[in-house]
Amino acid sequence: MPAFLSFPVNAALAAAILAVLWVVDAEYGQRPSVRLLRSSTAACWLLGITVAWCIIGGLVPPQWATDGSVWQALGFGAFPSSWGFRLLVCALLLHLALVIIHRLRQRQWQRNAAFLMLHGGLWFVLAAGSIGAADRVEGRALVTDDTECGTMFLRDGRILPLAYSMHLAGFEVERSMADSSVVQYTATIVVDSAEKHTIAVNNPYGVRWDEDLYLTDYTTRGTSGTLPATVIMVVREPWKPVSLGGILMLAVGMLLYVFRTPSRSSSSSTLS
Amino acid sequence: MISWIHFPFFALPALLCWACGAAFSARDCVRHPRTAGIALALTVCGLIVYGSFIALFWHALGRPPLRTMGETRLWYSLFMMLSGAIVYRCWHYRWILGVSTVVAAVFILVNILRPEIHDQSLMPALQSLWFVPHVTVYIFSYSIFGCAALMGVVGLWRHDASYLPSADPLVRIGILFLTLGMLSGCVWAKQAWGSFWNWDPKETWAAATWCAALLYIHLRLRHADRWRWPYIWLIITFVLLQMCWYGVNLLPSAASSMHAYS
Repeated sequence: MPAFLSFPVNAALAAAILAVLWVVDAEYGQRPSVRLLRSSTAACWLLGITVAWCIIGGLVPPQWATDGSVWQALGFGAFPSSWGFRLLVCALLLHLALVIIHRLRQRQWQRNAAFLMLHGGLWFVLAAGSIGAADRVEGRALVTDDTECGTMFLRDGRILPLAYSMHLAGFEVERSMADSSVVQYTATIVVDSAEKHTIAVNNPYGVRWDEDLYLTDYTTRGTSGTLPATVIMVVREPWKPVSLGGILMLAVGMLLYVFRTPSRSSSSSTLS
Repeated sequence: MISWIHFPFFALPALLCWACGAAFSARDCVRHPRTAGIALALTVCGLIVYGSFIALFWHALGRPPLRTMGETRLWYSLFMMLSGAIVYRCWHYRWILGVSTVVAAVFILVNILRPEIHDQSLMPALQSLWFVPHVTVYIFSYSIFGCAALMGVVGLWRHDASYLPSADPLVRIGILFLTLGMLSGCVWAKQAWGSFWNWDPKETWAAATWCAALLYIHLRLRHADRWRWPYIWLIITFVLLQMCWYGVNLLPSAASSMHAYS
């Protein structure tokens, strides 16, 4: 996602589009074109195209999509960041926004609860993953026990300063009794020379509300300290609460949909 | 102290209870109203016996039994039967406890017949509390969609729309578990890899499967009177599920997958 679309531009753009869609639904909601855009026919087409896109994206191996190939020209080289897929996600977001706004304007909260939770949750998840991608920063920091680390390396080679410094205070490797393979490894890091925090695979440390530290690797080569050097992945994701909120809404909406939707069949014996 | 040696003494009686429960649930609960209660009671008895082993084993290990392949398979069987019992309690499908029992039995028998997996450590990324619920709900949804796809094949074969009203609630339950599996996977991916969704090959097929199931639901809402396309989408959804489960491992893109261990 281009950098110029980072916060607050992306949030403002999303709010403006939602406002326009609200007006469109209020003023022109009964026009055949608007009805078609929010219809289940449109949903079927969008879902069908998504399925087809995912199947092609899943079948085409990355090595086929080399420079100049047909697959790369069609946008399957880096499938999720291709122009076609971005367009498809935008269309899904617009369709979802239209149907949500239409139901919101009906003001029948209880009747539409499952629908709004489901579609709203999906909208938030998709929006956080697409619109919020411009705000996501992922880098790696080499943390040792003999020097303070205050920078991270990005994938493109740039170096970004961190708002804090950290060093390694402890490191443990647990090995299997059977074959001596690594079962788990744990690092203890000190952030800003204050408290100690233990991090491991599947156990990140939330250093700030939008920033987490992950232990991804370690090496004993080329280190001057007494402990191995650890590779810490730093992930800055301000849209994380939006994603989590969307996931929760989607789960609750799906439960409401399943347990509150009356069955089409008349009796349980038919279902048996 | 309880250990793997004692596992058959808990698992086999539990399996017997579940099999008896499945046999009772196969009877028509409209004509024999008490059978549903007996089937559920037997299933719960099996769950208590089986759950007791897990609780005692947990106590003996001093940590949750989630570290080795064998330990995770303990939970598959437990959650498979728990999900089956909940679905049977809500919708009274006569076959659901039978299907759950067969799948649970497979995991129990693997643990009994292949003791070498008891010490086979999981890689660090798999050592998470999310592992068991994520896998279990997915496997449960696979079995539900498998039944729905069978209805699709039979309906298409016989040119008969009468299977669709029975397939609808199945797809609803299937997509519930599929969604919960996918969402738990998202949260776990954030915890392990730092992002909710990576468009890894396995995740791409999971998205295709989920969208295909949603498409079936939307098709049924849009054209309740048409039957051919819904049946076809039921079968497509099941084929995509197979791709997501193990088919993806046969593709060249699997080499770069973060899910390469599955």
